[in-house]
Amino acid sequence: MIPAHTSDSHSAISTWLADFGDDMYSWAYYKTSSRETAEDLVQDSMLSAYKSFDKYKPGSNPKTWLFTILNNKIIDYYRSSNTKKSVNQTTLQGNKLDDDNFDSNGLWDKAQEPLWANTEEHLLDNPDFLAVMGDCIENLPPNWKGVVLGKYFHHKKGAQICKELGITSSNLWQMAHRAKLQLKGCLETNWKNK
Amino acid sequence: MNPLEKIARISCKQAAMLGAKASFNALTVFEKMKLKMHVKVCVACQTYKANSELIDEAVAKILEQKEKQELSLSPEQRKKILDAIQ
Repeated sequence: MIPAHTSDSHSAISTWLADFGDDMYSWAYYKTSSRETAEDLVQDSMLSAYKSFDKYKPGSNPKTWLFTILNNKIIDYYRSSNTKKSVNQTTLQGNKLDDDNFDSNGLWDKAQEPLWANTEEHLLDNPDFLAVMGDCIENLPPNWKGVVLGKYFHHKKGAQICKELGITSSNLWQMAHRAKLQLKGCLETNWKNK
Repeated sequence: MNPLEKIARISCKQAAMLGAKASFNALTVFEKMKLKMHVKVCVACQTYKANSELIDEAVAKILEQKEKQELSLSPEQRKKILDAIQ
């Protein structure tokens, strides 16, 4: 027999998902810039809410409670992107970016060309350009994306981003440098040479 | 090359790194000087700097748009989430 508590919590979660699911999904997307990740984070949050349903105080605002859980999941997501394994992976990717862009003397390998050459209108008003750029941001490795989003999106100070991502300042500057090279390369491939 | 130029000499790669550091207002006075001296004489880095500023503006604009974007979970996504807590 299913205990009463289980069916209560299940129906509560089901109602909350109907009521707040879209808000949670939009928020997670705003914070991670990836639909897939946002969906996973909502699912994880709902699962946690279900498992710790007895910690919910009846009568309090369920949306506030769910968003607390979701925000913790978002922090965990960025933290886990800085585990040793994923850092090693992005370090390899980053070294390759440096090697692709610079020769052994640290000079640019190729001539740098303006990204907005031969366009009359302002690029930032061009929806096609913004769509390509949006995809480039989504495709950044999570830890670099965390740096980019923290900086531009939430206007956080370097020290605060380091704390949240669990990285040092030199990591931060290097990740920002490499994220920039990656975005530039992505635009060259998908926008300029299209 | 005068002695100052010699000590202050950096590569394009180092300049690009310092540029990223500069975006967090974290450069030392000496680093600021090195970066400025390099970019002044390096056309490739001037172009990279301009591209980099354009990317910054584009990122800021896209993120601003995302902030206003309201997404909806599809019925399939909702079902998947509810199935996960069975």
